[in-house]
Amino acid sequence: MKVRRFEPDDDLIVVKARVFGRHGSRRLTLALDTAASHTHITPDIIDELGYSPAEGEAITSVRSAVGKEPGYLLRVQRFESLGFGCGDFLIHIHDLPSGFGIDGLLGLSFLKRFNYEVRSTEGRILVEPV
Amino acid sequence: MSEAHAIESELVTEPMSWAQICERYPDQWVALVELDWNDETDEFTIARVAGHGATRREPFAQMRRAGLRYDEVGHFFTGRVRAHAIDFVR
Repeated sequence: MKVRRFEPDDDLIVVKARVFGRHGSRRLTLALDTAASHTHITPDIIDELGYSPAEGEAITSVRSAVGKEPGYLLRVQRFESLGFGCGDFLIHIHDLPSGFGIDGLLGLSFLKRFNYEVRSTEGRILVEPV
Repeated sequence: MSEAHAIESELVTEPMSWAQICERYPDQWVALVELDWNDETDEFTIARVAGHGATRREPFAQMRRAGLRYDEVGHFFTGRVRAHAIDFVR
């Protein structure tokens, strides 16, 4: 079982992640979101790793406060978070304003591979593979 | 010290802790290199700052302008994360 810590006083459960591409890897910050079906990452991170929207598997749209915004689904070489990783992982690429302080969301597409327990007052996430 | 190493040393900071980085670059996005990363905790003890700025893209843009290439780069925000970020996928 892996244990990851987060700041219990923060508004969100913030965790670290790592994405791999042709140009190496990027370590980033995601908000754990069990209401998000996909794992989301902003395009600037993906662009830096050498990926292109042309490699996307599907065009998507996301509802936001200002309407529908375009995005795409991309399969990355490898994705890691919460002490575990997986290859050929499908990520939803979608922009997000800089002021929010995160690079995206850790959604159910990753979380459903594990049993996990969020201990909010302790600021701990306990994770074990299924 | 080689000339190439001397030039690179001017473009990235000395190794700093996360607390020191947050103090020097408050409420900014930073690109961190040479991270002393602990895979068991997903935290680092020290890292060097290779780029920083108010927008998510600016640290990477600075690295490109300086010709800095690292296999591993950490991209983090030194300020507080805002809860309304979550609204964008609803």
